[in-house]
Amino acid sequence: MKNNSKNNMIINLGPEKPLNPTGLSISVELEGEKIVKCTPQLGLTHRGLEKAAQDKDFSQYLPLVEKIDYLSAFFYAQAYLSALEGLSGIELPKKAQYIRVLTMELNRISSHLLWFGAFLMTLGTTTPVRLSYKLRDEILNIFEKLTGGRMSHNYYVFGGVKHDIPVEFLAEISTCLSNINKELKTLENMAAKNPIFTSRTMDIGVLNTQNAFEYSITGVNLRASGYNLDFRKEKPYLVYNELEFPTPTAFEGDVYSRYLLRIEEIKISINLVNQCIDWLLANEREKYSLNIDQNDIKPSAGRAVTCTESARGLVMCCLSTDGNNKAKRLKWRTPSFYTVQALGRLVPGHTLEDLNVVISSLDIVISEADR
Amino acid sequence: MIKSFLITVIIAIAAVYAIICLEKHIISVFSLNPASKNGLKQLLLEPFCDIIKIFSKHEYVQKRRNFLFLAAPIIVFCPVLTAFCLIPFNQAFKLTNFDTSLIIFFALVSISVIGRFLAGFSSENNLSLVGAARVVSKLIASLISIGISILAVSYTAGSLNIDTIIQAQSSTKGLFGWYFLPLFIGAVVFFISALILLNTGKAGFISAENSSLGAYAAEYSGIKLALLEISDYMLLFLFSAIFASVFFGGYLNPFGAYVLPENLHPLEQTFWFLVKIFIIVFCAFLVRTSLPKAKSDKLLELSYKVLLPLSLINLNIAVLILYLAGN
Repeated sequence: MKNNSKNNMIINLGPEKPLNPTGLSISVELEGEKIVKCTPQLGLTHRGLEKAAQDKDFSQYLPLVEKIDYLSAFFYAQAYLSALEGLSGIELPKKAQYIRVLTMELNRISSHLLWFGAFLMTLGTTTPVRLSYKLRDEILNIFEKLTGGRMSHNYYVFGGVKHDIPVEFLAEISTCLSNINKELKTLENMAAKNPIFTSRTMDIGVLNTQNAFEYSITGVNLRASGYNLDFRKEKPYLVYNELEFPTPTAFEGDVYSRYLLRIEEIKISINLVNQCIDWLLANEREKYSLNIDQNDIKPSAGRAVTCTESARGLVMCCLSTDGNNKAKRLKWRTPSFYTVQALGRLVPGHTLEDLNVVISSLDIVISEADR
Repeated sequence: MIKSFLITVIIAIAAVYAIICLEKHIISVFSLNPASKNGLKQLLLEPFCDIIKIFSKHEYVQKRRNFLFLAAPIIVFCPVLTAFCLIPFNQAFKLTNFDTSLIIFFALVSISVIGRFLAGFSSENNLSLVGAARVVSKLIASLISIGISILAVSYTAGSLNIDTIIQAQSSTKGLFGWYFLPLFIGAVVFFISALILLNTGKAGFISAENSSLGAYAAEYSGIKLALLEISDYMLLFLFSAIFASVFFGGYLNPFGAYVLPENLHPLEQTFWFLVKIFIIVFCAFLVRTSLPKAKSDKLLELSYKVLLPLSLINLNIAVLILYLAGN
């Protein structure tokens, strides 16, 4: 090893193609076929979204929050608003909480479906990709009808949600979900029962529990490594303590177990949305918002830290205020930032072909890591 | 000479055109693409637009690029184009009639392998070099098993001339006289190896999007990239044609007892040949759309540890059949 380092080949991949997530630049050191060192470089899509919170007032900053992660916008809005609401000391109406949980779980499904398509694309299949994108499109259509936006919605407001969900619309959501449940089996049959698929994913990119802790990895990636930590169970926010759902765990920590857990999460989220729909149907007439003037949000001085379990892991929003209508300082903890660091540990020992599979199995969104 | 050259070029263009149309349609149907509902007119015009686009694309060549970089696409393209003249489309129409046309075919294909390596090597780019090494190792591994399975056929037919091999399969038994029945293992080995060989090319890999396999062409753009891609399509057609000729009776019709090949009109013979070729091309696309790509080290293992021994067994079977027939 010591004398060989002279002959090692260094390949710089990205920030554009041939890597999967745009904006991630990776420098790989090859010894023959094997990768011996992998250095991810971040910062190419930095937009200064933390600093922007200090220049804009709370309602102006709210649309920007959803731009942090364009694939799971609702989680960020929820983390930010719950920090604000906690500092202001207001209690959300029950119905608003249920609507927020419903939209967040739908968002989780759409994010995982997009991940599934992109993941299979890196393995070289083209057929299931369209199917999963088609299913995701149905959820985006629901979002469009409900909020007006497909990717960033601006639907959550301080003290509730912008408008109510009509009862007829709930039936539309449940038919869409039953369709997804049905098509999911086709997708699984296409992928998981294929020996090529298993040979490319099993025992690849193994992340053990110790390493996951060292890199403070959360979400599905941590649960696939054998540690059961779900912030919906650990620190229940909104109405998650009223809902019933399991948090499955795998112990292998490889690409395949991450894949299995994400598929399992889609099913659990479908179940959660159905529970929310049942509650909303039973409590049709409740208030969905406190109708607070959005231009006049002045929480008391202090600091609030909120946790949200997003599709990619733990999102933390640390907001400190000094009694003004602007944040004194806002800090985001985004899950992808920590997941990207783990590549340096996961990739060495594999070949260049496995690199993309490992990267896409971690479900990294670079714009979220850079903020 | 010029006439046969022109005819070769026309056949090659028609073959590539047909394969591109077929590919676009099959893949859009399988991947639920709304483009699959487009009409025939749009489907047929699409390759034209592709050609206009790729010709009009700005070509980026750095100053330090060497001669090999410019020559590599031509080294890939020209041998493959030349190989078209070796294929007998019917009994009457033969551009060339070499006694060793099968050997010449594989020699030409092997030259294009060198071109691919040169493309990656001369790109002066580590990723391209790795991609080129990988592609070449895969091409050679699959060409060895293909060569040995073809050897069994030429033993059985007693010739290396593609036309003679086709004629040797002609019998009153029709379909059952073709070589894919006695040399079944050889046919399977040929098909799988050809898939391995062709997957390196036109499988969405060439722009190095998802894997380092197509990375040998990462530095190419414009017409040079087009030459590399078109030669992949041509190789797909050529290998299907050779597969159809040596194992499925080439231009022979499947109802030997009722319609003897001598009585067939040359156009009818060409029809049967094209039907066979496009069924094989369809099967190749079917595999491509529905399965994930295997890792190249797994493919090399498959080639050397499974397909190569199988092709040797097939060779022994061919010899055994000859020996028994001799008695």
